[in-house]
Amino acid sequence: MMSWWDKVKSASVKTAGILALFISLLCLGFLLWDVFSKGWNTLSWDFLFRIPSRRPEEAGIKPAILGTLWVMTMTTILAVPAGILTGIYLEEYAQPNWFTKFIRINIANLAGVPSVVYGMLGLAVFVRTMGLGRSVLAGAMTMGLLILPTIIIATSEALKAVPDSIRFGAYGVGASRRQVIWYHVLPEALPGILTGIILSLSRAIGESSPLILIGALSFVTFAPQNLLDGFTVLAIQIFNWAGRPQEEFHHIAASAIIVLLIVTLSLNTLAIFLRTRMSRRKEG
Amino acid sequence: MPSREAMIEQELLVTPRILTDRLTVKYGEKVAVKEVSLSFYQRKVAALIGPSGCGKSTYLRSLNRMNDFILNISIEGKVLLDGQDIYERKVDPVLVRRHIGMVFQKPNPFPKTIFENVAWGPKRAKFPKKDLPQLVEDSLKQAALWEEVKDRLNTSALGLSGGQQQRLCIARAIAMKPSVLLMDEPCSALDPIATSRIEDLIQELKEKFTIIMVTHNMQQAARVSDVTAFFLHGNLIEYGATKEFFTRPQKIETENYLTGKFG
Ligand SMILES: Nc1ncnc2c1ncn2[C@@H]1O[C@H](COP(=O)(O)OP(=O)(O)OP(=O)(O)O)[C@@H](O)[C@H]1O
Ligand SMILES: [Mg+2]
Repeated sequence: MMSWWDKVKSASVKTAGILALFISLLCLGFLLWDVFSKGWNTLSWDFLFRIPSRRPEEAGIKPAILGTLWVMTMTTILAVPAGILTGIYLEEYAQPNWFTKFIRINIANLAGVPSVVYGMLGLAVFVRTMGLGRSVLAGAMTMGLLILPTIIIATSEALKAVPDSIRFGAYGVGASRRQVIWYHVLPEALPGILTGIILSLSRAIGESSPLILIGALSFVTFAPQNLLDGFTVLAIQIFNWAGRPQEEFHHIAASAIIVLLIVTLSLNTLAIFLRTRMSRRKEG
Repeated sequence: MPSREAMIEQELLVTPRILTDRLTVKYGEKVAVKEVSLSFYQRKVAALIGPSGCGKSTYLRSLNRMNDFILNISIEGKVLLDGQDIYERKVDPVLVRRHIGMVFQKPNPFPKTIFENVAWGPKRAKFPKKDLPQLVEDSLKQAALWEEVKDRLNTSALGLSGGQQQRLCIARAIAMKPSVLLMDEPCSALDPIATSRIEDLIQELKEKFTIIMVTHNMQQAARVSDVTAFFLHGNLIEYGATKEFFTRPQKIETENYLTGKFG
């Protein structure tokens, strides 16, 4: 039996929880309402395919969309293989000694470093020292560094979740370590790894601060033609428009936010889909 | 004059298939198996019994180098498979495990199709692809599972019952055509009916393989094994023909264990 005091405690925790949930939903609802009421009318197919302009009613987000595509594609190419391989190494190959532990802790810490810091690093190393300038490549390398720790952690968590009984079963029929990892462990871990990758990419799409720091342009009327071209991305375009005094620019900023929201939510939905598919397979 | 085959047969019966010579296994400082010397013969089922924590699984795993994955483990002494020390430097543990199959306590089929479960090991060992269906069929038949699964070879093995999964794991092991089959409490997760099917199966399989099984069930050891070894605190206390072992144990510890005085 719970004492009356326990009951009071558990009831108040419950109430506090529901209240917190209610408040956050309310804020989210208000933000969404604000964005949609401002941006819905100016959102059109045309808006996606026009270039920015000094006149808000003629402006569009084509260069921002293409820039985002360029940067995110390069980020994926740079960070995903490196992240997955590092995760595999840490989980499946490295001896669990103090050094590995040290590396793990540091990767976990890196995942918590604010994104501006990555921007400063990118500015100092990629833009200046390596002389890449304010290019797609410099932006992608910065974003790649930003999401690398998350990908490593997602990979090693997914690998850890693969039961040892599967590994031993495979070793038991005379498989080598490479075969065990390649044929049994990775396929099992793949949905988890992909979920982690998608979520980190979806976070990176919405990031503007590191790219602002490395000096990505905010008024761009062209799409990048190669890796060393200047670029802008959706998040920066939004940042730029939202900072202007004219009301009309705030409206098209809201329209661009809706586009960004749709992209991020689609990615998150994909991640949820992968995750539920994975758990269903585990049960069946 | 006996035929050549008969002589080889005879030879195989008197030479141990696999033996351990003063095998000692330690986890760090803790001794789990202490100087155990045992021989296992062709066409015999050996049962390893003893109270929980006495080192049965540790001993069994060191017979096919499954202990290699445990950190801080140290192994002294010898394990000879057909006269070859499997812990010698030049020996590849992967090949050792192809010759010495293993069935685990909890059924652990791969999350793949029934066919893939059996075919995967042989494929890695470069078994000719065109003969795979036949091999899968033969192995499943030997494991007494063929009739139940022949119409759904391409469905997931995870859809099978626990007893069927364990027989699938046995089929998976024997598809590699090992000479020794290790089983660590293969029936402990199964109901009595599934258990008796596996016991029957062991009786049939012993015609082809040397079987070494760990069991907690003394009736089971008495029913299926030809020889029994009793472990206590990492020591081998007694080893002998099962009939003798259960009716006239030589050591007082064995008798105490059999009569349930401790354990
Ligand atoms: N990975 C390990 N690391 C450290 N000690 C271990 C490890 N595995 C087993 N041990 C210890 O070694 C001893 C023997 O364990 P083992 O699993 O071989 O016993 P067992 O006879 O199989 O017991 P059970 O009947 O409960 O399965 C036990 O004291 C156990 O705690
Ligand atoms: Mg055990």
